[in-house]
Amino acid sequence: MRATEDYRKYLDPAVISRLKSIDIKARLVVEGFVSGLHRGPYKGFSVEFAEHRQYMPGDPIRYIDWKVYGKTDRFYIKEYEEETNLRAYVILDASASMGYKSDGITKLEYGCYLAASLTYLMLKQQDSVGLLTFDTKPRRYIPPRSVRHHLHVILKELAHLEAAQETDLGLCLRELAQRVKRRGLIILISDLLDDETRVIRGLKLFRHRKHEVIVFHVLDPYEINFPFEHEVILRDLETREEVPAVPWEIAGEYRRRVADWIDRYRSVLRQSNVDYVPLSTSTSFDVALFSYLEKRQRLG
Amino acid sequence: MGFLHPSYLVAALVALVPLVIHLLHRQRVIVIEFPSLEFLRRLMRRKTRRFQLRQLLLLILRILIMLFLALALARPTLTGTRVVHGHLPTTAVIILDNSLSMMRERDGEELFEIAKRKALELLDYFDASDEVYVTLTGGKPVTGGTYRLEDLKREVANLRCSKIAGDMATAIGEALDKLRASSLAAKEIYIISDMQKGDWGGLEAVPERATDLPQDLRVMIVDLGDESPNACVKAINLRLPVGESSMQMEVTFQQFGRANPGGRVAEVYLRDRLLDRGVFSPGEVGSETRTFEIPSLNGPVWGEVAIAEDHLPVDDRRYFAYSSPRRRIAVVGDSYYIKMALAPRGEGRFNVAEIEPGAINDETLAGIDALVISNVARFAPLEIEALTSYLESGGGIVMFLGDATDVGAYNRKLLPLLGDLSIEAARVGGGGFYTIDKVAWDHPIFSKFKRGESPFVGVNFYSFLKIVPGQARVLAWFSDGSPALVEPRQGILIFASSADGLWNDLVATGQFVPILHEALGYVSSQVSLRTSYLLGEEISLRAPRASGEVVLDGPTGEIRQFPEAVGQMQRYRIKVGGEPGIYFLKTQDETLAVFALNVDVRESDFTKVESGLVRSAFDGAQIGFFSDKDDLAEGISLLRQGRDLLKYILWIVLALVVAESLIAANLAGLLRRSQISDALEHS
Repeated sequence: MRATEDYRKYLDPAVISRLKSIDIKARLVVEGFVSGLHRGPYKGFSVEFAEHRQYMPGDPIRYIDWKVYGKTDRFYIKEYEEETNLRAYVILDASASMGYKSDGITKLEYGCYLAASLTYLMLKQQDSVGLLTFDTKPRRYIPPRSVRHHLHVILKELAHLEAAQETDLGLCLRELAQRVKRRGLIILISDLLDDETRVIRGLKLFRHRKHEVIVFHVLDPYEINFPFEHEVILRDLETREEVPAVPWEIAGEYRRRVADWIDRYRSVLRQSNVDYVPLSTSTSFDVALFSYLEKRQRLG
Repeated sequence: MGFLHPSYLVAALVALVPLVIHLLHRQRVIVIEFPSLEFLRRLMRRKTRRFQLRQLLLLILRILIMLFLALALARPTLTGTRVVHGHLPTTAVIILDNSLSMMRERDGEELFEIAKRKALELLDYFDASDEVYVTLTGGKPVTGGTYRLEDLKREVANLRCSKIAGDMATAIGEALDKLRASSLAAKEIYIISDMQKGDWGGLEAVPERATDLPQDLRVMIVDLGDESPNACVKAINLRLPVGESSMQMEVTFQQFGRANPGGRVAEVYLRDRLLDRGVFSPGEVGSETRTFEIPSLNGPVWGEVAIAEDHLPVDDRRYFAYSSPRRRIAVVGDSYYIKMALAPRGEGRFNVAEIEPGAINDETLAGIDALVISNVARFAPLEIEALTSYLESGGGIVMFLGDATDVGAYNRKLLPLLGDLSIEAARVGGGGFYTIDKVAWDHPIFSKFKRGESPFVGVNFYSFLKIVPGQARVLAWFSDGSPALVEPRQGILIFASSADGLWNDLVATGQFVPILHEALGYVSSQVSLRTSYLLGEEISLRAPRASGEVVLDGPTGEIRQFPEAVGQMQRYRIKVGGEPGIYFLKTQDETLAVFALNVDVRESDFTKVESGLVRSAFDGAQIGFFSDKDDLAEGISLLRQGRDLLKYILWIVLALVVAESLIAANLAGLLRRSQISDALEHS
């Protein structure tokens, strides 16, 4: 129980942000997530034998090669090169607005940790994972692969990612839709601060091409609640435009508008069979990971 | 606009505090980076503008509150003058009321001493660039404008209250003359007075004198008065009833103002000895007249009537004097009935002598108080000369015309001497008779007759000479409208008919004696019988030539007198303003005359003049009324700077504070609602 508790704490973005290496972060998030599950997710995917390795405590007994045991009187585990049937594309918004943080971590950091965790989890499950980062245009594209060292490629990219430029999510979604020929899982991590119609049109384009889409809509708690108490001047992170604001005059109306905006996305995307997961940077990572797993299980 | 305390205007800098706070607050407004202003942009444009407008309004209100508070401290005043503040060279006249009523005491201090203190205080507000005059209501200006203020203060400090009635109208007139003659920019009149009504008599005449009031004239009135009650001995009237040798003295006591009812003891002193004592009860307000008997005494007689002293003691004592109750009358012409009427038994109030026609000269007229001319034909030139000098010395004449009158001679010689009148030659009458139904009731000779019924009732006039009165005053009219009795000038009476029983039946009626007595009493009073005067009044006394030095001996000592010769007599012109009392005009050997000087009882009534009357006297000038409790410095400032706007400023501040509170509460309410909704959402 203690071990379980220790790992679960890494689902908290605030805790995970204190760690240095992104691969450790990803691993601990996933370990924390997995430790909370009743059953492991590792079953029924691998088919093609790759090599034997010595049994280590903790390995499932059902994977022991009893024939080798009969010959050598030692326990060996059979490892298989899995032929994956899922190609996942993690699309991460790296525009300037993702660099916002009120307290804790930025939306981009949250997105990175989430992307890393998903990559780790998916590679663990022998799925192939690719990454696309973008701002006004696609910044970096890493095609999906399922080999273990691919994790380091993606994590390295995520580790050096910085928020910059404005957003043109609609354009990026269109470009990626053109590029991805084979059906797969599109995971969009973004604050969706772009033209709403174009974003929805882009996501619908994926659905039109038979991709499964899951959208992690990452917002900062301040963006949602607008809890400022004093008169402030707000500067747009992307356009640098400044507007004086009187929070107590506009907070209510602002919150109502944001809620409407989220509801609109939820409603429209549901109609398009797109999974929509609104997240705040204080939201525990398991919310997103569960959403992913549910989606993954539906995909079979 | 001016300011009473302009130095407090510095406090207006406090108005910068809200501005500084506002600016600091603006500087403190932090810039926060925010992912997207998409949701805020339109929202904020509308709401923030409204908020900022309210903030701006609050800022303006707070600055205004501070400014108006600073303004209130500086005590702004509204004025019509061009001077905002500072001191212009000023011509000022301080009218100091030194009338008798200012002698009364308040809290153990004479009112005039308080007035002096106020005057000295006023003088502190002037400097060497000013021209300041001090004028007394009972005297002349004390000083001129080039006078050093310190010397002026010393003189004011040494002033004493007079015991005469004040003449505020004259003092104001003099003050206005001074101001008109001045070339200095600012002109001010300060009146320090008890505002006693009696002093302000004749004020109606001031506006005429003040039609051309100096521009921007400022008048400050320091009212020291109160309408406290006061009692006085108002009048003493000496009467010698016909046929009686003893005098009757009628004394009138007056109570001014509401006082406790009850009697007051009055004492009569004759030649410094108590003669009689009585109680008078004038009631709460009113007067009472009591009669005292004074025995016949030889030589000068004097005395006083006194009541218990109150807080104005000087009017609680009144003096009387007479040198001889018997007036010396000379009759020329038909004298039988006249002598019978005046001294039936050779005694009474008149000492009657007879002068033969043609025998009128200085010698026969010497010592005569009144001359009766009855049906005398004409007068010789020497007689005309003697009459001229007799009239100049103040002698009186009662003249009856008759059948012997030489109208031509009268018109040429005698009447021009008496006044502007003439007589028509033709005698009126012969048919029926005339009566006298109409008389001038306001004349003193009719004052003792029953009003409404002619003093000549029952007297039939068969003949008379028609008098053309000219400038002479007609005192009685015959039934045909012709003058029956005329007064060419004071002290001379001319009857158009006779006193011999031929032209009328006057001498046979009961009216003759009182009419003749009153007429002679009137004309002779011009000479010497009047023996009671008011302080400050000029007295003309006629007395026989005296050998040696003549002095006036009174309460304050002896003053040498220098008479002027008038015929066989000498005339003394005396004016005493010092102390009331008995005065003797005398040589080393004999007393020539005795008279009493009393205070004017108009000063005993402390009723105050109506402020409207005072305002009308200075119509067009800035006028301010202040009591002795008021701060003079502030009063002067107010007068110089104008209407105090303090209360209006405070009202404005109050309105601004209310407006500020409402707007601020609105903002606070918004803030609170916002916080509550946050809390609800979080819960």
